[in-house]
Amino acid sequence: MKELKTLLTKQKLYFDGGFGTLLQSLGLPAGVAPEEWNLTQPHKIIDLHRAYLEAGSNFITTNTFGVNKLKYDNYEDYIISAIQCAKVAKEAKPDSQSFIAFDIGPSGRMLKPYGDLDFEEAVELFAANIRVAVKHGIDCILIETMNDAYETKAAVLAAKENAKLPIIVTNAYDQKGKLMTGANPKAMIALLEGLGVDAIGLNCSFGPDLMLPIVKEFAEYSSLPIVVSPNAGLPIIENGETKYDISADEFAAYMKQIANLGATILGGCCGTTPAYIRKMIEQTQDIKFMKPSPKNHTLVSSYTHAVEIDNQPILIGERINPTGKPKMREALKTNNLDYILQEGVKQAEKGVHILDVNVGLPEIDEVEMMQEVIKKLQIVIDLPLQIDSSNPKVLEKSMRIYNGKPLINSVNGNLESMEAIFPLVKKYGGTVIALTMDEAGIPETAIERVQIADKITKFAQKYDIDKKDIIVDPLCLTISSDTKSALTTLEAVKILRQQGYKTILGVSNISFGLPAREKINTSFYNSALENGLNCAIMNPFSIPMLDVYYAFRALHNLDTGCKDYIAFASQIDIPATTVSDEAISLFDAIIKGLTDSAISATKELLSIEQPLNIINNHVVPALNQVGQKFEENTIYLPQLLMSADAATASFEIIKNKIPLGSVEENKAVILATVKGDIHDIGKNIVKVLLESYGYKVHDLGKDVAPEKIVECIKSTDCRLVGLSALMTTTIPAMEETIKILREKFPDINIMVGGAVLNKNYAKMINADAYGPDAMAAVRFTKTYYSNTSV
Amino acid sequence: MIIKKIFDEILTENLVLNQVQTAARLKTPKNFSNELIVKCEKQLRQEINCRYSAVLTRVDLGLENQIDLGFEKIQSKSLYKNLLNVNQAYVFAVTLGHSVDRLIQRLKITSLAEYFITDGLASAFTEAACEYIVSEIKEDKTLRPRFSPGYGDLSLEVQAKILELVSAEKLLNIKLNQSFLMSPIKSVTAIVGMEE
Repeated sequence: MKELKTLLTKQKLYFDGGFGTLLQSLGLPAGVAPEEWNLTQPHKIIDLHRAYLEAGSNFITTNTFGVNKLKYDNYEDYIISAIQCAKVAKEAKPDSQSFIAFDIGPSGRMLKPYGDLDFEEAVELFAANIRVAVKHGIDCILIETMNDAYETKAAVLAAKENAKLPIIVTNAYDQKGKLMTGANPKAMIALLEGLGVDAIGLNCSFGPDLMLPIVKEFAEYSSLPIVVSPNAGLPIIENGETKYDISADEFAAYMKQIANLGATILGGCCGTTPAYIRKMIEQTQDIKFMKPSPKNHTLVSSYTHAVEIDNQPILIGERINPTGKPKMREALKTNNLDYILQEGVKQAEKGVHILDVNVGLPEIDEVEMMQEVIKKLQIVIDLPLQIDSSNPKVLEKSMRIYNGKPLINSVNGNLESMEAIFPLVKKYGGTVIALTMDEAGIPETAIERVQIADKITKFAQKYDIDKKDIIVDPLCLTISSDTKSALTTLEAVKILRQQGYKTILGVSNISFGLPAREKINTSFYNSALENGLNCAIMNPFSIPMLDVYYAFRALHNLDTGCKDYIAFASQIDIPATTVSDEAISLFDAIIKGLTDSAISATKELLSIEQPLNIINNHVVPALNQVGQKFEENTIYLPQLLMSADAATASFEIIKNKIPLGSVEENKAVILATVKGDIHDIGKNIVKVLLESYGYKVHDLGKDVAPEKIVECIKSTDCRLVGLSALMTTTIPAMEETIKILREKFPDINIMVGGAVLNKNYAKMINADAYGPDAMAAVRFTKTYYSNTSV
Repeated sequence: MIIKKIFDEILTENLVLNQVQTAARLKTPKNFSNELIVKCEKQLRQEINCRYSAVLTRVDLGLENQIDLGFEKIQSKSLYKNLLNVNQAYVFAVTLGHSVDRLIQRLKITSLAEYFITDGLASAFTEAACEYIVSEIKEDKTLRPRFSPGYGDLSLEVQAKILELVSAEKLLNIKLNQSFLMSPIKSVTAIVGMEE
């Protein structure tokens, strides 16, 4: 439908207005879904479409908002009849410039991780609708009223993969100007422009008056035509009837203001009627069409916000990368996602803007691991991610499931690379890092590197990828092998910036092979910033690197009132003022639950005492004392957990100093919350407490099927299992799990806990022990291992 | 029949924690506090985006524990007892929003103590939000104790109908999973009978 695609950018167009609310006023009983009338009262649907066409609407929105195969087995019937109604209405005005917009609303389910609908299931749900619609003749796809960025992305992908029609997307913002799952307009613009839809905007929620500030933001950032379809104000109930507080005249007056801000596709939502649309058209038809102009903002986004790469230097945390980091390597090999997530959270706390994620190790399945890490990181951190892999398959799968517009690392001037990467960027959206190298290697001069950047940018245009979505990495090679290399890179940064490119560097590469690398790195970073560098991939735990960042911003008028610099500098001073805190013993730090003090005390002790002795002489006695006080009711659960946090932090440091195999690695416990139960706080408390005592915990998570536990017992040879359940409804699942485990492993030991259990009940379901609290689980484990020769 | 609808935000300064509730959630004696608890509460308050949607509806009690709330005929002995001699009730849903869920998930991997405390405080805050709503809808009427799906024999499945009635998906973005649990997790639905 090239005609409509072109029209969208050439003239003003009008959508229709409210449907469900209007059908109710025509007699649709409360509790009956609007789509029911597609089958039972099609003439009323047709009449309503006609009334909107008469009023001047260009679009006939099909009555399919609430239809999907989760709700209806015969969803196809509802879709086919809805399209039929739209076609009949359209035939009545054959000369009009009218288009059938196939309507897609939210699925009604929350996507994982916050709900239970898988992303691919959501894509398929929308795809099923679209396949039917395309077969029966529609002109475009309207994805509307979505208040979750991830679900919006699922619907857009379904549309792209199953139709070659224009895609129009409008989201429902709240009065704070965000989607209810957190995304702001800039984040949605980045995501949707990246996905390559044809028009974007907002609908529903409230009246046009409250939409004005959001429309302004769209006008500033969007290069696409802007669609605005507000409600007729806010609903009020009068004598049991729902009415809206903005009249057709007021609505039209506000829509005029909205059109003057640059919105070119106007319509209505709940509470609006053909009269509203007619008046709106009367008020706005003479406003000159403002062609959407390309905006030059380089954006990457998460599910809440976008980061703009512009005048402010951008920090990209480099710590989630196994290269040269044995602990990260180990975490990836043992699937220790918690460690990886902690590295993410710690970098976020240091103030980085974007996180690099690289999980490439020959011995792991990088495709699976990258997706897993991205999904988990996006639960705990709302920063945009830089997906870093040399494998296009890894990039494809991860770009697909990423919630936002990612930064992609990377493409280069090699034809094979460009042909592999740009189609992915075209399909899933993204800003891409272009390395200035090609088949001939890395050029020696700055000019030649810039030429490769030009070549890559030109090639990207074939895929409609704009220069603004390319960030050039002119590459820094260590000065230890070529002392001119820093100068070449700096010159390239300068020229690229002058030519309107955005730039990025992996700053620390410059010092490879040299001693005291940080000294070189910081000086180089400062020079690069002076030459116009935008983004640095760097170690945010390096204070001297942060010194450069904050000082540069303060010196270049990029930090109003030097506020950020002052906040940063005062933080740096803190360690000096907390000497007294640091001076307390490890034993006392654990008793008091002071994690930072426990860390410093442990480090000090390690210089004078054997690691294992520290555990036995300090950590365990402190934990025992805390445990005893807890059981005597002189301290309470929050304090016990604070001590566990402090002990765990200490233990983590000690563990690194102990030769592999000499710690209690073989004293392990398998923990799981049983099938059907999603409550895991109790299990997590037991886990951390056991870990702080030095036991190895195989944590299988929540909602765990017995088969998964069986598998774990087989692979680890561990014979001690802890099961948790919080809901009465999941006790049978616990009983069943115990039965299966006993059948398969007669020598198994099972402890159980959870709010709904007691000692007698535990006995009845054949458990070996019942733990009323976490300390009881520790005691049972201690007894188990003191009676077992491992 | 729907008589009245309310949809509003509750500012965090209007959420007053009940000390008994809080102590029960944190498993401490009443009024117990320490630096970390104070820090967690402050951090949590910043993430709370509390909104509710309430509908005043007619109540018709039928035979054999059947209750007609205008939108759904419910079979429940305990709710029937709760609503005896009442002919109107507020049905509401309230949530602390998605950011709170996210904060709790983040703390889960960084600090067990903060995770436990924040999770408990968030539950206490949803209770505080319910108390606020009850005080808002009370006017000069006598209200029956708040009743939620899952109490007594009132099935969790009623949750879906309540959410639909108060337009919870659209106004609050509360959605149910297949086990009838709500997302955001820190959300509550309830029925409050109103005496004449």
